[in-house]
Amino acid sequence: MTWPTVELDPITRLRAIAAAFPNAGVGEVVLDVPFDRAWAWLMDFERTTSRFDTMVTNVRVRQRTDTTAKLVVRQRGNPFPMPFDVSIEPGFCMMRASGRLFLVLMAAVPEGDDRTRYAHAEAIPLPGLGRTRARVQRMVDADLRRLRRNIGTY
Amino acid sequence: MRAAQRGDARAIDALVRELSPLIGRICGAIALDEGEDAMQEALIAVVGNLRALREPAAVRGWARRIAVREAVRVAKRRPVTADADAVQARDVDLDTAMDVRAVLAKLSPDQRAVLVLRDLDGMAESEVASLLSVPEGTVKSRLHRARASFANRWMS
Repeated sequence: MTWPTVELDPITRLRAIAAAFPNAGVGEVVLDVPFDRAWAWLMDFERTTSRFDTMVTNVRVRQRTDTTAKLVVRQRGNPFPMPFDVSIEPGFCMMRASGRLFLVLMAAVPEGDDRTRYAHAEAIPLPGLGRTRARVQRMVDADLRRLRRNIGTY
Repeated sequence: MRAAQRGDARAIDALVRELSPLIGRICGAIALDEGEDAMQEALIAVVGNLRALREPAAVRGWARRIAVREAVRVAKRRPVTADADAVQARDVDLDTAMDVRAVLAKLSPDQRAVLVLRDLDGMAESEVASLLSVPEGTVKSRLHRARASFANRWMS
């Protein structure tokens, strides 16, 4: 006898992790691009992150494997480059800045054959910063608006 | 577990993945069509309250309690679309998940919760009563009705 069960999908995984951080901003959009193309574009950090992340001006990939990356990210208004450790799976990506200064989560699942449901979360995983949630949420909302406009472009 | 409680994102991710088969099993069997929503809400409740858990070793029992609560709540919020007539109208294949789902859909969320905890998770009736915060007699009667309903559907 087989009981009905539910598998963990990348977007649920993202929302669950984000729930740990009181200042996390979380958003979700449907992109008019098939999953494989959308995910490949999103994971091309050097060429594409600054095309949708409103805070990022430049990304350099220092190391890259199929499942990990080390990035150096330059952000608007921050004179210091920020190193990130990245773990990558199909449809799920976690980017952690050194010193727990910043956390970015990206998740995607196919939405039919031609579209992609994408979820994005950002947080400052330090205690006592719950009041910054509205600001972080505005950043995520802005990122997702830019992503919908620019997905697939270089 | 301690790292997850301190807010280490990688440890939280590992905990989410470790608990997801347990929570997915409970939410799938109790909330049925709404199982994905129930699982998401259960995981968010578990992770969001992680710091309040004083005994890390008890995390699975604590997560089970939250999953049952969320699954029943979500299932009551949106009634399940039962297609049990279709099951009765054709030869029942007892090995398919679809038939089990159709039979479960004819039970109430509270009955499904008792059945899942007792027959799927193998908990004692006293443990089920404690987890659901109901008297043991209530568990016995819900279980009896659920099993009888299950048996009737499968025999018909």
